[in-house]
Amino acid sequence: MVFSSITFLFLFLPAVLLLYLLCPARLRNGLLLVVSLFFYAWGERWYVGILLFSTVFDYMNGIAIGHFREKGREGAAKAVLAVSVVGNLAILCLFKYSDFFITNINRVGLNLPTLGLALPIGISFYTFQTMSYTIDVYRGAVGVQRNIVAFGTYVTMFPQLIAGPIVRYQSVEAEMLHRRVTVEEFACGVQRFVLGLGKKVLLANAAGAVWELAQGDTKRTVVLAWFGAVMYAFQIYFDFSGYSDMAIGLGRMFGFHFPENFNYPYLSKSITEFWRRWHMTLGTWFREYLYIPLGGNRCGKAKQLRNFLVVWALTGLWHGAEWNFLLWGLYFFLLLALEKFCYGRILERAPEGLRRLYALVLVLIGWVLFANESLSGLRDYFGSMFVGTATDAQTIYILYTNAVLLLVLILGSTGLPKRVATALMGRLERHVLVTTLVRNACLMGILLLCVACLLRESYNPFLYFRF
Amino acid sequence: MMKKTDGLVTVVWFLGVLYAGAALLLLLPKQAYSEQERRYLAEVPEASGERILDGTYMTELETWLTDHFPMRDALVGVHGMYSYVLGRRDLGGMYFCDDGYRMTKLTAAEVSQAQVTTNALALRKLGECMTELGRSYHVMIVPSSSLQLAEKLPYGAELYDQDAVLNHLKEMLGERAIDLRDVLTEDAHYYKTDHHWTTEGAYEAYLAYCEVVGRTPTRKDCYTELAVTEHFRGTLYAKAPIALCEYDTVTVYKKDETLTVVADGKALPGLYDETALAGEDAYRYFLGGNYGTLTIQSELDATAEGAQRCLLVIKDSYANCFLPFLTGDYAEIHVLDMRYYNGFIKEYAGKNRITDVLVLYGADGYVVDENVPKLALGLTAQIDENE
Repeated sequence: MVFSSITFLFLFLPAVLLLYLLCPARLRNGLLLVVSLFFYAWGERWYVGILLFSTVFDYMNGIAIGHFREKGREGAAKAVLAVSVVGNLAILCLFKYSDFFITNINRVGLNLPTLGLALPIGISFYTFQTMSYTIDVYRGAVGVQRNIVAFGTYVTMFPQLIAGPIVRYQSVEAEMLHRRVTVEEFACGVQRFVLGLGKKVLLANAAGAVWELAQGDTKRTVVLAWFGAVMYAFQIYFDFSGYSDMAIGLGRMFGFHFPENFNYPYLSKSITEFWRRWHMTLGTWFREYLYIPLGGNRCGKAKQLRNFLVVWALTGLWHGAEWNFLLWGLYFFLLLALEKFCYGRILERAPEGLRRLYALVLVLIGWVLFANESLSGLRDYFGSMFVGTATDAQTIYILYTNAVLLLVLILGSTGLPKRVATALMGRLERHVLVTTLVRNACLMGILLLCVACLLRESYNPFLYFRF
Repeated sequence: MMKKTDGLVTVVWFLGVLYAGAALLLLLPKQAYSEQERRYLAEVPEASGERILDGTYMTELETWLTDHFPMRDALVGVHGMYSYVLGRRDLGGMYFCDDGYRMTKLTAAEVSQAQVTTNALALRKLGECMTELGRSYHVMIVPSSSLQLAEKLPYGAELYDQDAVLNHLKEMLGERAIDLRDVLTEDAHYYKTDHHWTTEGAYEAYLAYCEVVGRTPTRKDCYTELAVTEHFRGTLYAKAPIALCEYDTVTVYKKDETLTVVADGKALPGLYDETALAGEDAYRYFLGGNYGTLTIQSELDATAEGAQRCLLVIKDSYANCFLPFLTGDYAEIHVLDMRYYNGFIKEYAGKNRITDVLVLYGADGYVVDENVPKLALGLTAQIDENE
């Protein structure tokens, strides 16, 4: 099931909210678990079994690790941790990377049949979440969760199950057992959810339609190639951050406080800064559980470079089982290494505008890498960005019919709308009726407009769905 | 953090929208057909074990929910307005053009060159056969407003090359192809909100047709011009229903005559369907729709030019407002719509003593029509793709 659908908004969510409200506090985790499994099964059917398996597997691993740690048996605890990590990665590799391996091995002569396994949605997210739990239990950073319902709820909670943010167990450990929902908290959640829905349905989908036009046009002009890429950059940002907003908003409605995942990444003044503003929970996960255990920056420059390489290669591959994703990861490895060891200092002294331009152009090129999965398609697209007819009548048509959209997308990527809204609300602070009316009218308008678009647009993709 | 009342208001309207939407969605009686969008709405999806396990039930449920959402018509209008304000100039398969016009959007990617060639070949084959058997044969593929009023299109609007199709057809059929590109040049010849031509446009084509077949046309002043509705919003409106859309006037040219009209075996009161004016699609006023076979018998004077002539019209809906002009020139008119008629033309023409044949399609419909090749069936020769 997808948040941006009538099924979710007008069947699932009203039912779940009602049940949650009527449910006694001690049964609420159980309720969330059940409805989340239903939510997952709605889209994935039999694959809900893998989710259940992962949950039970790491639940037991957590207990075992805790038990061995208590008894002082470090070795045994480490062994169970290894089992957990290997097991999770094995599941992930099987369902996500096996055909990638097989296809590539076949290139050197073998003729193995591909498995043709469909990717279970969210597997990259929830396996990382369960791994964060067992690793943190081993480190003593969190207590063992003996209540399988509570643990199950943590893993399967529908707000963040399918597309993050990646919630480490330590973030919600307390809230699993004690949370309150007040009217204000719920309302905050509603606002976050509606704004996220708007980002997805009103902005991301519209940008994506233009990208599809550009990508599908084999004779695209240079201008269209660039415009398409820009639209893709906006689509992926508003799609993914919109979904994170919806997840955070929904979490809030149930009393959970999930970590932020995006912080206006297109305002970055360097690639280093970009990765501290984009998909922040993934960055945190890789830093905590891979970079730092490998030594981080504590073992000399050579090792640090190696650690960078490992983390970024895997970050790339995490996004998809294809060569272009690995290339994308390595592309950022190169840039980050250069910024760190070569020109980082010089960059810091450059004028702000130049730094923003530098970051935006490089990120844009990265997105072209990311968006074209076939290497021939990638060559073709890159080629058309530099070689070919400059522009034609149809390109101009696409430009002027999307000019307003472009403006809205640019503004939406900056903190400007938020600052203006806050300033406006501040000015009118004493006129409580007016502020209440304006804020709520805008939110309701956005919700209804989203519903209108969902009724008509059959084009409603979700890009991070392959993870 | 927000203040308590502010939060309360938010919670109230949010839950209100959700629960009102859910309640209305589930409890309101459902319509089977959408007048505004001119299409049938989805039926309740079948909840079988198989369909649930392979996911089709879920997709169909979402479709069903969106099709029957409360106030769908209003919300679809909101979406259209939002898209237009955001700068879009095409929506749902049509372009927003100058002077309140809308035009069908049909791109080269959507037109199969193979289909176009096959259709042209079929028309030629039929023509050769009919001419051989001593009948007159003419083809009128009516150019659309997107070609004739192209200056109204938004700059850079992508369309298939209609000129090329019509030129190619002219090459294949020679004199038998009637070219209306020099005839239908005025705004008044096309509707703003519908893909058909207006009755005025059809009359101009009628004049052109008479000139080609060498007949004296019924003069305009022999007709009474009636505006049967001034609130017509046609198929192009249905593609993107926005409140901010113009209305078209539908005119009819009526004259005194006695006709016997039979459609698919049923007798019709006449060439016009008065009930259509009460509904959304006023173009249905002409003939009341499309039928597989239709026959019109006019009571003509024994000395009239057309008293012995029997015309066969092979058509799509474009001919519906054109046919009334022909009733004075032919004692009998047979009308076939290849979407519903599956017989052989040669056989039909022979059985009904047809003397003249006219093929009449709108260009945008013609280039994607998969039924045109049926015209070449049952003739002496088969279509040879390599010709």
